[in-house]
Amino acid sequence: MKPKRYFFSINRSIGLLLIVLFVGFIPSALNAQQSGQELFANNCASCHKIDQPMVGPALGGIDKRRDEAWLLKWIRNSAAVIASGDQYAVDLYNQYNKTAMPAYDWSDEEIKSVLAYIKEEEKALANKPKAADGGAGAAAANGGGGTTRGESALMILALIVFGALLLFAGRLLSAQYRLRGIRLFNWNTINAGLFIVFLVVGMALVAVQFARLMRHTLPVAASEHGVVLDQMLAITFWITFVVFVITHILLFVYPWIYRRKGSESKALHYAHNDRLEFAWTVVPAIVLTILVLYGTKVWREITQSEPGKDAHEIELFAYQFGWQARLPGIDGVLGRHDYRLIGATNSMGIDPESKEGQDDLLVPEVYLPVGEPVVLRLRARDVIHSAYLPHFRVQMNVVPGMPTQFVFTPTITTEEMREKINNYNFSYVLACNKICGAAHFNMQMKFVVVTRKEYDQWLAKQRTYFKKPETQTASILLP
Amino acid sequence: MSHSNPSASTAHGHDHGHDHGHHKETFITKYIFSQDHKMIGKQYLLTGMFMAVVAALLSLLFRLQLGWPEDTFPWLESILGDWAKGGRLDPSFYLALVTMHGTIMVFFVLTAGLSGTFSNLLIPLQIGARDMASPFLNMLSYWIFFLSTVIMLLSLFIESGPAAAGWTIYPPLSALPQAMPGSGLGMTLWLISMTLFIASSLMAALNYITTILNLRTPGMTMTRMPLTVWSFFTTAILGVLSFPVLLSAAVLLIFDRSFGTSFYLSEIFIAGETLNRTGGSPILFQHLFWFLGHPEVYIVLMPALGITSEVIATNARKPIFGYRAMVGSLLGISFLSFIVWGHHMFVTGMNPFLGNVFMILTLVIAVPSAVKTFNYLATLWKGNIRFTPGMLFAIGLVSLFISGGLTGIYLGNAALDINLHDTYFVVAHFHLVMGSASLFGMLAGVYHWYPRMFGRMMNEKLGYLHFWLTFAAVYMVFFPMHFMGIDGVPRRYYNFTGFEYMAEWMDLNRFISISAILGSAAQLLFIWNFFSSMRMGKKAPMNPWNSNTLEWTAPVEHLHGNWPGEIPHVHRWPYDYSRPGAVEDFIPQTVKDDDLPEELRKPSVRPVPHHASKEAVASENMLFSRLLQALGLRKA
Amino acid sequence: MDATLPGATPPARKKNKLHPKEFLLWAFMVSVFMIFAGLTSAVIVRRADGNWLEYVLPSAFWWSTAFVLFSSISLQWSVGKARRDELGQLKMGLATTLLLGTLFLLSQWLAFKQMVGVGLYLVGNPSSSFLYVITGLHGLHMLSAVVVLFVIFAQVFQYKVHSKNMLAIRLGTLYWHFLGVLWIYLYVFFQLVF
Repeated sequence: MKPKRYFFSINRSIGLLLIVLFVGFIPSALNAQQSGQELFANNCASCHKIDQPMVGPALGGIDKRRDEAWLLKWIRNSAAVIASGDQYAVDLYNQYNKTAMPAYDWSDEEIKSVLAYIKEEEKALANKPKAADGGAGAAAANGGGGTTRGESALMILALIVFGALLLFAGRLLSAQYRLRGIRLFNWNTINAGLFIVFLVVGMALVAVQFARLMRHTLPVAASEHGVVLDQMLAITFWITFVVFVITHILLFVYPWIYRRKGSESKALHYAHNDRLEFAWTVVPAIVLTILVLYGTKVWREITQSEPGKDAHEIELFAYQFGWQARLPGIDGVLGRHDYRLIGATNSMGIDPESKEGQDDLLVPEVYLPVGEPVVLRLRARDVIHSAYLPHFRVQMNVVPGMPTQFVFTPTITTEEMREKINNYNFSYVLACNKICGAAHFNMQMKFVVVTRKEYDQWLAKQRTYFKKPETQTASILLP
Repeated sequence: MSHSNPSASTAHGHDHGHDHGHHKETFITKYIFSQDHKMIGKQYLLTGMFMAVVAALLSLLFRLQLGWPEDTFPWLESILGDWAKGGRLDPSFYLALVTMHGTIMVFFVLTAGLSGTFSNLLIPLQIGARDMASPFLNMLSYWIFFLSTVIMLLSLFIESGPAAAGWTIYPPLSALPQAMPGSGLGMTLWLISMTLFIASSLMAALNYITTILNLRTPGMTMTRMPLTVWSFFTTAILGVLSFPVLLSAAVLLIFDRSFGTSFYLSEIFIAGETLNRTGGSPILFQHLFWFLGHPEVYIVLMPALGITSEVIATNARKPIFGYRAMVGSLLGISFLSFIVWGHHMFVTGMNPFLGNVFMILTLVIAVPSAVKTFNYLATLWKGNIRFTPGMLFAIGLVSLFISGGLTGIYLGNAALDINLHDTYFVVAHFHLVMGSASLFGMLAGVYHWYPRMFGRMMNEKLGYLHFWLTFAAVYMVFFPMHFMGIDGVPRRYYNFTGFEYMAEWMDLNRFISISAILGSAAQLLFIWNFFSSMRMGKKAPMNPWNSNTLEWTAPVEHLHGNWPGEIPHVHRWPYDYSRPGAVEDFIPQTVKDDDLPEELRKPSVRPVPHHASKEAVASENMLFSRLLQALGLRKA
Repeated sequence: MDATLPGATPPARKKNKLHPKEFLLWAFMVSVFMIFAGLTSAVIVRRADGNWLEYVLPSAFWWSTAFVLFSSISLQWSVGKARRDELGQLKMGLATTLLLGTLFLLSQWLAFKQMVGVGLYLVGNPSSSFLYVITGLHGLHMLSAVVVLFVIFAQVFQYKVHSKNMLAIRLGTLYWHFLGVLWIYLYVFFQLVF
């Protein structure tokens, strides 16, 4: 009898083990490299600065104020520390307006790397040459034109005082003339003339604003529907701008032409004109109808597009004050969630019993393959937030208890966009756009659009939502 | 049917009003608990002005933060204490500032301060009544408003801070104290204050409607009412129908906050704990809120439009062009305002079909607004314009109405709203079309009717200066914001340093803040002018503007009962300005036909050079009459 | 036609048969109706979202309806007596109405207790929450109507209510009927949605 051959021969087994370890090592090495800096930027920066209080206290010097053991407990579950009656914790909580810090289910290494980063940053800041009277940082970044705060205040004060002095002088002067019965100015004509001045200067300033500020607005839309929206915006703009200019010319020129010119000037008693009124009711109605039909068409297309089976599903979970993103993993289905399961170790409330959830991926940044439809599934944990991705022309409220979604297709990779706008620091970003509390202004998550190949590579390195005991890796993705 | 008041015992058999020998007026009954509509109007004005100063200061604080986000201001900490640790505004407090700024401006300044002042002052005087239908209710409405003001101001000083969830106070943010500090006691006080405010507004609105429909002097048909009264009328109707719904939204919110119900709350985990609230819908609140919210913006705007019609006609010495269209557009805007509220909710995830419906209706409401604008322009055309400060502000209002109204077309388009919702584009839009336009209407009204209120004239030159500085400042502050909005910069953001694409607006923010500070400083001119003219202003003649309307036929010194002797009867509409063949360029409403030459007796339905057939004229009048009859505004 | 001095109520005008205060009351009733319109619309919208508990309404509501109907009848009867200056009967009629009004309020309270007994609380499924809030609000208005009627009742004893002075009792009656009709609207509405 031939000896039985097992599939997992010794050689094969050792080989597989080596492969697993090797492949497994890379992402965990990479994960460990989700450095203190990245963790800080993605999680702490929304509420903390190093050198001054913001939503939460300044973190510089935290290692001197609290020992590591305390910090580990606090960062993992601040609410528990407060509930346990720790006086320092309770005082801190009260001092910062009872704003709760979210719980972070991080390993000891991760927390220590964040603390190390904080220490580095503190040192770096201390060594930075003192910025001149504040505000110079931003001013310098914007080119030499920035005035410092002190100068601005002085300027304002000077203007006001100057104005008051002028007024006073004016009154003194005119009082002299008035006493002698001489009227200095024909204020009616002056005011009428000022309308013309205002028109000219105003239109010039409008032109200047367009010239200087339009370049700061959003670049070309990075999504399919976004391009259509931008077109509609342009058409709406030209129609409304023409109306704006014409009506304002009339509005500011008529006062000049028809100003009272003396006791002999008379007005024309003209109470109505049916034909004219009919015309200017019907014409705007027609123009607006066209705009509306156009708008409803585009709106229908955007909101009623059903995500196809191959659309990339991404769940965005909003909370005070950040985002978490979850991908469905190999099975293509997002695991069941239940808000009652949310807790320190399960921030998104995914059901650990759910089969489909086992392979769900938790990603710190969202990568999207260019040209492929995406459906964002939106869920909120506590209050209403809003998922705003302006570069893609995407916005949808995220409401606790009421899932929403948005379907779109990204069309320009991050690389391409960087070239287009000549800014190699550019990144697509998700912002919160519905007032949600103290750090509403700092809830962000990076979005990256890449080629399909890069996407697959990135996907392979992502970790699952549920930490597997042996490794931190995602299951190996078989083609 | 007997008519006497069962509880009082006023037995005035005759109607000759003279300043009462009957009841002695003490200081208290004349100035504090006055039941005289003119005094109550002034009370509303002063309270509204005070609140405007408060709200402006709040805005300067947050503009300070936006203009200089990296700077610290030690003096801030000495004023605000913990709310400005280290000399920089606390981010939670920033949200409280924008919330209170919005709440105070929209409700206390531009609703109560605008409608309350001018409806009270002008309705009885312009329709020829002695006072409101219920002077007692009128007084009550002011004092309840005053109480509501006190409570709202109190909330600024409590330890956990005032309400901070935006003036729109969406739950769950506003329902849960653990969501933000301002949602604790601050929010409770806000709700109490607003409940009182709603009660006060309802009382006032009911009074206005009743007075307009019941107490017009003989000859004052609905179609001879000045457009100011029409606008106060439609505004009051909107108030009666929409404020109660805000009350129901607030009642449900109070229950969610204090009694554990779940009208608006569902599936929430916050501050480390899972809440036991299920079955609610935050969107329900938004529907109820905006059902008031949208008519509210017309409640804010329509009185200003009415005032503008009156001020422009009087100062251009021309009839307001298209009186019937103006009335029709007021009625149209009023009706439509109830069915467009969803345009505030395009991105909430509501049914897209609803989005279509609201989009169409919203763009329909643009039509009557456009009609009004063209009518104003046509009134200026071939006028004989006199630029009083009131006229300047009225023209300024038209400009702001155009600028702000046009951007409404972008936002009313649901698809465009996707990227513009809750950005600075919206901030620019409503500040121009509602905030500044209504403010200009209020200022125009004050300048124009100051002689009526205080018997003196305001200083004109200060008025001119005030106008030009304010007009420039308003555009400098709000026009650039459109660009920020198109760039996707969200509103209610404490600073922009966190996002690279927003950080490029920091210079502009500084410019805007400086403009805001200068613009606010310019208002000092007005405040000085307002108060000093009360004593030092030139004594006003009875009809300083040579206006046709009835309020100028009452003596300058305030009379309880408005007219000594009988109330004047009305024989014509209020817009007979510059009738060819007339001796003066105005024919007041009280002038009888007998006193006029033949050709001036008939109302001018057609413009003078145009000779239409009598039949065409008659049939047109019929159509309009029929409309009014159908609406129950004119007897058959 | 002359309006009189302030404070006195002006005579009714030819074209508008309504006394100004009566018109004021009508307008007020419109705004009260709007509160309930807002709340009942909220019910409809919420119900469409699902997760809506339906239940049998407490039996005490039948009594409420009966009480409010009879109270309107007795009040209307009282108005007739007032018009004929039959003050004695007027007093009886008003007393009966007040009694029925109070019984209405008691029956509402009883209904709440019945609901609690069955396990339908203010807190819990929105459908029961709405029922409590809406009936509670209506009950508050009814309480105000009882107070108003009580004041009128007191005035009868002061000889202030008689055929030449019908305004107060007419207004009170109008308000009372309005609340009765409102209750019927609400009750029917509740039957349909709960």
